[in-house]
Amino acid sequence: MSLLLSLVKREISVVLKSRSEFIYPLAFFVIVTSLFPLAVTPDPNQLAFIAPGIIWVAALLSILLSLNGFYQADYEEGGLEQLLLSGVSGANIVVAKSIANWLVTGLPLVLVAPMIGISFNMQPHTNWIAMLSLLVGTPSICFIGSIGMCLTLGLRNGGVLLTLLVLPLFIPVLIFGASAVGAASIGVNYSGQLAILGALLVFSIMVAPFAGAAAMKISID
Amino acid sequence: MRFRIDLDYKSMNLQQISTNQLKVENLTVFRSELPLFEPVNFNLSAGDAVQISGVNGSGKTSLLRCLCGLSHRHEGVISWNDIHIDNDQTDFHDQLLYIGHALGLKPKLTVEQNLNFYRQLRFDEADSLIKNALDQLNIGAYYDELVGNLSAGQKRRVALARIISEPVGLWILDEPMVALDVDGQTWLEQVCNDHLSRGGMIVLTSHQRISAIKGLDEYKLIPANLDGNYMINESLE
Repeated sequence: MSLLLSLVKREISVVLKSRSEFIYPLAFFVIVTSLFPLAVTPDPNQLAFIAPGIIWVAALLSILLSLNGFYQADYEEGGLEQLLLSGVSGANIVVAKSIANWLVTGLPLVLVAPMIGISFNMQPHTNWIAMLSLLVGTPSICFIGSIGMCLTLGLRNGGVLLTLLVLPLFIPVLIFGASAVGAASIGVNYSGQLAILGALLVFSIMVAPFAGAAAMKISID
Repeated sequence: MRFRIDLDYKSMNLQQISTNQLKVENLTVFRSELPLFEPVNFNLSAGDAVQISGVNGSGKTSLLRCLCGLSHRHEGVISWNDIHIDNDQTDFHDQLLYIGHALGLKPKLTVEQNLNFYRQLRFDEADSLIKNALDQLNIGAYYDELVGNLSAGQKRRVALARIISEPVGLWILDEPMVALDVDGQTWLEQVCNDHLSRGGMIVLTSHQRISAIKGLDEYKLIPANLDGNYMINESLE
């Protein structure tokens, strides 16, 4: 446990040193979401209708953007192999990186989302549910993304391949996340969607570390 | 020029390292399905050192990566204390320090943070050995400097400081002399001699002739005989 803690601390301190790493995804999220009212429609009712989908798609893409920063440099500098040789298991590395990734990228998105919601004319209650669904859903995106990231380590144009590999895996999270918010906005029961988001989170936490570790081993070989 | 070398080897189990043995039998590394060199055989026990030599692209780095258990593109047996290294990595990795071309240092962290992090992965306490190691290498003044601000030679010195701050039995060093100045090279040779006299083991590659390390055997990699049917012209990492 203390090992995991020190790994997470190291990841975070590295990322916080290069501010672009955690400000870009957040800025991307804010900019993309605020472009939609300009491009689609300024009508408040329609905005409230499309808001859940836009917030979720933007959150998903901005986490996808942030993944690279946590793995690629560490791979190229030889940090990953040193960790493996120092007796840290690949699964521990993936868990630590995913936790750090969520704390640095996912959590700020969750906190900023209500402001985007307000600008999209979402009701306060719907806004809370949007926040809640992001809180449960974004960690699974970090974990699932780590599998793809470990597979594409060291590849040229790995980013494009990463997108192709993991976007299909993100789809369940996207569907249930956005539909929980959609259901809340029309006053229907949304607990089922949130429960499935929770189940997806548990599943991805259980699978991703091992799949990621196996992929990392192949990439380093 | 003499360097002051005083180490705290209390954390190292001397009894254990004096009986360690690294055995390499019929090891060939493959790249794109083709063997890189003729099968390699050697035995290292306490106090032994071997220098792997060979022309550029002969597979020295690949060989070292296989020895560490990082790469598995090989045939043959590598065993540590008569146990295949893939079967029991824990004991092997506890005793192994590998410093490759990629030094594993985070440019955004300070020298002290980098070294302390690695030390704490192996040994529970942070320790003054790091300060000591950096002083020996004449980079003590850079203790709190970001690694990204250092020169190539200084970075190499920081990475090599780990052989002092993390005392283990087996050092696998890939081109440790690269980017080091004369003083740094003398220091390294001296530390290697000390390590060997304590019963440590060293595998290293270098293009230089290193005469100052006592008892350093040279093992020349012989390019694999492919009957002239193939040309290997791929660049190595």
